[in-house]
Amino acid sequence: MKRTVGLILAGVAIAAAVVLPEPEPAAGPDFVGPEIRESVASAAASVWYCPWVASGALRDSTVMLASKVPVSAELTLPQQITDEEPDVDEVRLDEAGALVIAVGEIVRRGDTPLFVELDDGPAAVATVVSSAEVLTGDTCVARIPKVWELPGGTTREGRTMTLRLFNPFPELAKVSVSGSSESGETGLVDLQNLDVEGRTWQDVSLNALVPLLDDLALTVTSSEGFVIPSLAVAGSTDEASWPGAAPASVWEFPVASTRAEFSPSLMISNSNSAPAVVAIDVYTDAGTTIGAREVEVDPSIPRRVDLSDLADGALGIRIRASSPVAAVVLAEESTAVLEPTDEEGQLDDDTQRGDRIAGTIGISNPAVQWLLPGLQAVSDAEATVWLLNTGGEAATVTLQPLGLRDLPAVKQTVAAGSLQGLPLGHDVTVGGYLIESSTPISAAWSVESPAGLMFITGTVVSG
Amino acid sequence: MSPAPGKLKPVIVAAVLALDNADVAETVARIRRQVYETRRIVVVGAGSRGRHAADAAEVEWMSSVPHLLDSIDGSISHVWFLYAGALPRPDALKALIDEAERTDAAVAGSKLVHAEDPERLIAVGIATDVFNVPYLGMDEHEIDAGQYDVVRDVAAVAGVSMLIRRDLARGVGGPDPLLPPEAAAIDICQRARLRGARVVVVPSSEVLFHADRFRAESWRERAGRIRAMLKAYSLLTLLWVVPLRLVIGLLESVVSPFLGRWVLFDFLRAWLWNIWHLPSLVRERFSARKGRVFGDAELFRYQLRGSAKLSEITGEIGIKLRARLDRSEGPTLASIGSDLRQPAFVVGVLTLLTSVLAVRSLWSAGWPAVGYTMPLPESGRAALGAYAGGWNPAGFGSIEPLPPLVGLAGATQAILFDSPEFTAWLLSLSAIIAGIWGTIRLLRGWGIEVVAAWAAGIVLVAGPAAQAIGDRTAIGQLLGIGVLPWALRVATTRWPWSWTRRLGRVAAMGWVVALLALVAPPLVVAPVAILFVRAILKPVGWASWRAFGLGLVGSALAVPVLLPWLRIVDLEAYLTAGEEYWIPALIPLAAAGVAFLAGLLASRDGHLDAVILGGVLVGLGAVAARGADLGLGRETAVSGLAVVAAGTAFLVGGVLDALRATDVHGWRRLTAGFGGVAAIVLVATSLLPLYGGRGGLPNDEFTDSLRFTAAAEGEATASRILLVGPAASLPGDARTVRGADYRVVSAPVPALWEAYLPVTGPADAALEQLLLKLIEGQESRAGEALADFGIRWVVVTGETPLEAVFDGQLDLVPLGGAKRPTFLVDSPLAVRARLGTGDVWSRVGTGYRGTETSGERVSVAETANSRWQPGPWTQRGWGNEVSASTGEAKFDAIESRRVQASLAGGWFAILVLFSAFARRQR
Repeated sequence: MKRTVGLILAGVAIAAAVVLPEPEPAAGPDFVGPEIRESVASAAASVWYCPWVASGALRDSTVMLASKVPVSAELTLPQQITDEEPDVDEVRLDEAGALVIAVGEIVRRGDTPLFVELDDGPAAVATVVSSAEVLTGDTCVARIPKVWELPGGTTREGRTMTLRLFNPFPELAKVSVSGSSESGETGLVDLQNLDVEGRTWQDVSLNALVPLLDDLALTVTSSEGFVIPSLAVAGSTDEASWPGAAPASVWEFPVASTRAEFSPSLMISNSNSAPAVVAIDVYTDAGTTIGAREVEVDPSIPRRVDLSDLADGALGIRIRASSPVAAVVLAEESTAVLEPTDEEGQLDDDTQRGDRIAGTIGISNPAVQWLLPGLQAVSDAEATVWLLNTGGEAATVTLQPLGLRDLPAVKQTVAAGSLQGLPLGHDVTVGGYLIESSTPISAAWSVESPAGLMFITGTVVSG
Repeated sequence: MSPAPGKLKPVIVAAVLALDNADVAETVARIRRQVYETRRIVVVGAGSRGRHAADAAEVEWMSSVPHLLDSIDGSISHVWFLYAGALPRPDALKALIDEAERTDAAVAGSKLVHAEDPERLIAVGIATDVFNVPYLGMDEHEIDAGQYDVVRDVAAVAGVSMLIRRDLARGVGGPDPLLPPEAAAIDICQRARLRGARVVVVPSSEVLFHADRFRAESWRERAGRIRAMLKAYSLLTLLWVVPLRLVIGLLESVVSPFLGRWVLFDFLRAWLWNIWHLPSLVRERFSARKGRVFGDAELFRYQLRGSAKLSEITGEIGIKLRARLDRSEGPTLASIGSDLRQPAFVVGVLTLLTSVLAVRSLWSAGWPAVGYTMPLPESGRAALGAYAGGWNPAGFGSIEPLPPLVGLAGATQAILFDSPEFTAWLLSLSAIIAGIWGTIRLLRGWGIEVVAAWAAGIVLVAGPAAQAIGDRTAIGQLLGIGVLPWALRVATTRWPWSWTRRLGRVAAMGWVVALLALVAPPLVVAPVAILFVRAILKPVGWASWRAFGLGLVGSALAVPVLLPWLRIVDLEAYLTAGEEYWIPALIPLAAAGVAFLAGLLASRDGHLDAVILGGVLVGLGAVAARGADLGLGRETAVSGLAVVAAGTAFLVGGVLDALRATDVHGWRRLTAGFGGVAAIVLVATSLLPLYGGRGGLPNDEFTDSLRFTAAAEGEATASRILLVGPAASLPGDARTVRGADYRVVSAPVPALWEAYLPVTGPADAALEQLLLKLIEGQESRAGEALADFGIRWVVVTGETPLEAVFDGQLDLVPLGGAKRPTFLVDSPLAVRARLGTGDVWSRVGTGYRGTETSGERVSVAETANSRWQPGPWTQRGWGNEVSASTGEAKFDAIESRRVQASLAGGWFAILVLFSAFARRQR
């Protein structure tokens, strides 16, 4: 009896324990790392990374800051030698406006990538590098993904291609660079597991590694730490630089060329496994051509699309891809003008110098507010703001100059499906523009001087 | 023997030391009957009582020995000191003089025999250890068969009858008037020896004495020995002797209550007395060491190796252990051989060895920092203060109550000279010994023999369930399983006849359960639950129901001891917090199943009861241990494992002992054999983990990996560490941000009081917000932001996406040499308390200390609370700002909680003392 009772009691207790289910494991993290912040000007503190900056004996750079609110900015310019203290400068905008800071006034030691920390926003930062023969620049980036796409490179004759890997963080970054060209995957064995020490940068000359490639798109992947890459393509004098981009299905380029002398081309790279079909819409003063061209971009084979035959003069484009692609536009001074123009076969003095080049990344999301830091701030140059309205409604656009004093806003209407270029010239009192539109548009600006040509994409203001 | 030719006949003054109410007259009469006459007889001391006694005996009286020595002229060669009540045989003095002359000894002592039974020895000279603790070297009832009758040099002679040369007595200044008799005798012998004098015992000089007046172990004697030691030894010797003496005294204080004595206060008084008399000690030491002929080595020649006190304690423990294990004989040389062959002796030795081996690593390192087990705080008083209404330092701090274990360990540590390592070692060792010993006592009461009971004890403290508790780093429950069998034993042992002893039993039940509750509060119900199951399984007769009732009362009595924790804690949250789910290992599970079934089929009577109770307890405990789905939390689940441990132990005890049964035959015998094998498997799988040396706890995870913080510039304790990684890789509780776990701990290594995090406070919310901003990429200077929290390091403890988040910060410096990925907040502001000027304040206990700066304010990065002092207090964000004028910032303890803690301590003491008192009543 006792045994039976014991067996039953113990059996029941053990059976109860056995049937009790194991609790569900806790849901793990819903993120894999720092979320990638878009390069947009939002109402928060932000850090903008500007890799392609130089200030030395030949070149000067300016950091251009535009903000909708009072903001303090701290500029940090790391040294290329590990563990050297960076140069730091602080500036403040006491009210909404713009500032132009000459890097040479902080330090003058050649290449000087930097980052700008803003304690509030919306605000945006862009940089310009200039010399007697160079004019280049672009907007700085706030996003720090692990993988960057950099299309648009070339190592063909007469072009020098440099990749800058800027590590603004204290941690060592381990970086691998892969490339694809018209021949397919390009072996860049020397660029695997590159160490980029914290708070330094490395410049990689691609011409020496993979010479004579017409089209070269790079993918930069950080296995440890983070880097901010920038690509620069130089001609005999001028150069163009642009930061990395994330693939997207739609890209808008308000400026692909400013004049007929500048031959525009579009470089597309596809890092997917399947080919992408890309339709190109063309916007000019004369009108819009939707689906002006359709190309297929194979994986691992970047595609260069010459746009010079689509328009004669200023040109904006939109591309629509069947899957996300990365894209860059380049405008290069036409080599045709270098042909002899007189009977004696002498080159014309004015056109001999023509090797100006500009390039920029596109805009994947049209917006109703834009900040264009630096617009009208580049001396000895002619600036033009480009407004592209790919929507179905006309946009009423207000251009508010930001600068040392209050200036009246300019209103402009951009018809549906059109591109509008507004030449603005140089004005020492203006350091940038705030553009507000009734419907989403894309905005960018170009600067042309005898030294060079430069395209700079605007920065979207969010919220 | 006559004096040598040409040598003067010694002239003696007899000094009767009237120390107590002993009969002076009888001693004086005995002196008068000596065959060797004395010149004078003087009664010394005892004030007017001594004077009257002297008058009655018609002898001189003098107030003190120094006066006596002053009064003696050069015609006197020796002084014979005798205690009042000493009864020298007629030839005692002659023998002393003859042998002293023969051996050229300056000090000679008599053999002491019992006044009531002169055949029995009391002492023949005194050996001492280096601490001046006397050792007589003979049995209590040893017969005088002449075995010690040889004149020999000894460390000291008893002051009961001591002959000393007058010139030496004067030279060394006579006996130290501050010392009690025995210590004074040792002292004067030592001082004499330092001056080159021989000290001999003369067995042919016999003195009868009352043994109960000899070697009275009073605190004054203890104090006297310490004083004698401090006077005689060189500074070099004192450098090691004093600390050792302290440790041994402490050990004796801890162990003595188990031997029925309480010597802690004597120990403390003895040292305090010496501190109080330090000036005279310095004078006496100078005088003792001046003119010495020999060094300490000469004293060591006549001393014992080791500690007499430790030998005495060990001997007593041996006797007690044997008695507890059912041996009635005391230790004699003759019995040693048979002892060695006795299971009880073997089991005792094995238990001790196993236990010491099982905790050997804790001796130097204390508890490991892993999971919910962490090293004890540096200050036991601070831990006790924090428990009793003080500041809970876990995370960013709070006024939430700390677990009672923190208070208990803190109090123990405070007594044990604030040594966290020693306290942890002792607590773990005590728990293991108590667990094995308690199981033996409990199961012996249930009719199970000692070897099977020992095996059961091993399974209790190190079996599969105990291993599971260890793996879960539940130090409280691990200690608790050492107490659990005692609670059951107190309840189930024979009910006493007298009412006093019955009440004492109730009180004992109360404090034993209280001890259990203090180490692991949910275990307060474990004894009563087990006793209830036992009563259900054995419903016939009152005994089991009375035991259950006693358990119920015991639990009720134990509850007040949990104050103030019990009044403040959210019990529901406490019992349901965290998730645990026990999945037993296959082999022990199968072994336990086989053992249970075999025991059920093959055992009888008491064995069967133990097997059934064990099986049911394993089942019920497993329900709690796997009850996450029922809403049972971590503490409840781990306490369920303690019940499983007890059940498994009973099962093993019952099954193994069933093998002894002679009336089991046939298939039952075979089944019992299978059960025995299964039980042995359980015992074997239990023994192995014990040899890890950490008392069943896993490896230390953090001490080494966080040690680098201690080497950093500045004080590591002034800052915090942010640990990020999966919850299982973090110490104690963790918080979660978007599914990723993290927690904040103190540098350099978190202490036990940080294991349980309080509910989320404003500081936690602020840190969570910061982490969210970092994850969302809205903040790039984590270092600057973390510095506000006093966080100086971020350490990655395992796979976590937060590592990449900290990778992408502009001002976090990665530390290459650290054992785990680590980021440094390179800012002098990353401290917990600092002045506006940047001066860093050190962390002391749960408060902070720095330079007194009037007019300045110190910001304290602890959760805001207006009790932070000194005022005026202001809230600074989520933190505090207080005046820096006193150089100290501390939390003003909550008085009501302090009072409750004191009452709880008092109640516990009352239960202990009353149970001890009642136990001694016949």
